[in-house]
Amino acid sequence: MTKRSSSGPMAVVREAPSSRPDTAGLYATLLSDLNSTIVRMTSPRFDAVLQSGSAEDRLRAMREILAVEKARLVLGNAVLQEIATKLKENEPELIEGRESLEEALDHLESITKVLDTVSSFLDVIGKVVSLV
Amino acid sequence: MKRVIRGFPVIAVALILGIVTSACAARITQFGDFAQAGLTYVKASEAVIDDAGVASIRANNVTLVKNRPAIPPENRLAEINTHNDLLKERLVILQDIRRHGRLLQRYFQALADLAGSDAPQAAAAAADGAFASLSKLSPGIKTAKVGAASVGNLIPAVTKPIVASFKVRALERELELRSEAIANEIALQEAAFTAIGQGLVTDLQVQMNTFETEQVNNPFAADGVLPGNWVGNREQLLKMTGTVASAGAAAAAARNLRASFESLVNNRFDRAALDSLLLDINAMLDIATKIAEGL
Repeated sequence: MTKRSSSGPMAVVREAPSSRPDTAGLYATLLSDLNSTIVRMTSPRFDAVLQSGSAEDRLRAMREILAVEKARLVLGNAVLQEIATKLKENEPELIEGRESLEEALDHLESITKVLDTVSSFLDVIGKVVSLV
Repeated sequence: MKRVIRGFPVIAVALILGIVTSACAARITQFGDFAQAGLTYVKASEAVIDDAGVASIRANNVTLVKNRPAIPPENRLAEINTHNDLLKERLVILQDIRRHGRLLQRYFQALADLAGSDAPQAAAAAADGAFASLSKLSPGIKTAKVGAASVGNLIPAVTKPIVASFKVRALERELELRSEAIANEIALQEAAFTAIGQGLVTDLQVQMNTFETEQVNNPFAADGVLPGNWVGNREQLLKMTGTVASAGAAAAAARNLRASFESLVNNRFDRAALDSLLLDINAMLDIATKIAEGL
């Protein structure tokens, strides 16, 4: 398990006027994606797919579910003003990542593909907020 | 003719007195009813806030417990501390929203006191105090993140309410001065509960997913006799599905509260408006109670 930690003890977002509405919209979309991801990765359907996988797949899925849970809490508590620049810088990657994620979770064709996609998406989120 | 002329003012005075008394009673009733509805709203909204706090903790619990084997023992302490800190931050903002609702109710009660008081100074001071406290609290909530959205981005546009004539100078002055600001504060409640509703749905769904897999699906798929509580567990799960879908009831009640406040300020808060508001508040309380029972 990779050690990830909070980006800081902030409970609120102070939005920079210049960051709105694009970054605020992107921010809300990413949080919504993370919420949707945790719901789908804890779903009976996903669990059933995992049961057909290897022990290593299941262990890896556990790590990714924990990482998604932490990411949605960290991003949810983040200060938008502080991450606005990084959001803009990584916007193309974030958009590409969320599209791939949606497709992988919709189809659930291969456990490896889903877990790779989740991991890649979290890596991009990790460029915006510190998850390590 | 003289008797008629003399008699007319007596009748007129009696009529005017009757109208004034009736208008005064109606005014006091309107503001009293609204303050009482505000109290009911606050109690129901606190139940939703409690549900949201508990749901976020329990969703995090089931995630940590189920996936704990994937965390190397040497990392577990750091992991649990991180999640504890993150959840504490989330709970702080929920408490701020709770305090905001209570302050709004204090303001509504002060308005009711102003409407019915012969000596309105104390009520005006109470309204002033409640408003000052609201003003200090609301900027933090506006910029807060709850669930998947920033509360500030969810605040609906508010038009300035039209203040009717209530024949009580202190009340009219108060409404002229602050009715728009208070309508904005109620809009903030609406935004906060929209955000809370979104987060609550996710947290409940995570719990229900785990419950469905572990308590319903896996025991059914396994060989052997089903656990004695299996039927009850399945029933509980399926009943909760509908309840989760209704987690937006709190935002609807807050929206109605704002519309009702605007009607009140405009002297149009009648029995039908009160009944409609209470219906939405009761729906919010009903959903919150069902969620609490199902959690």
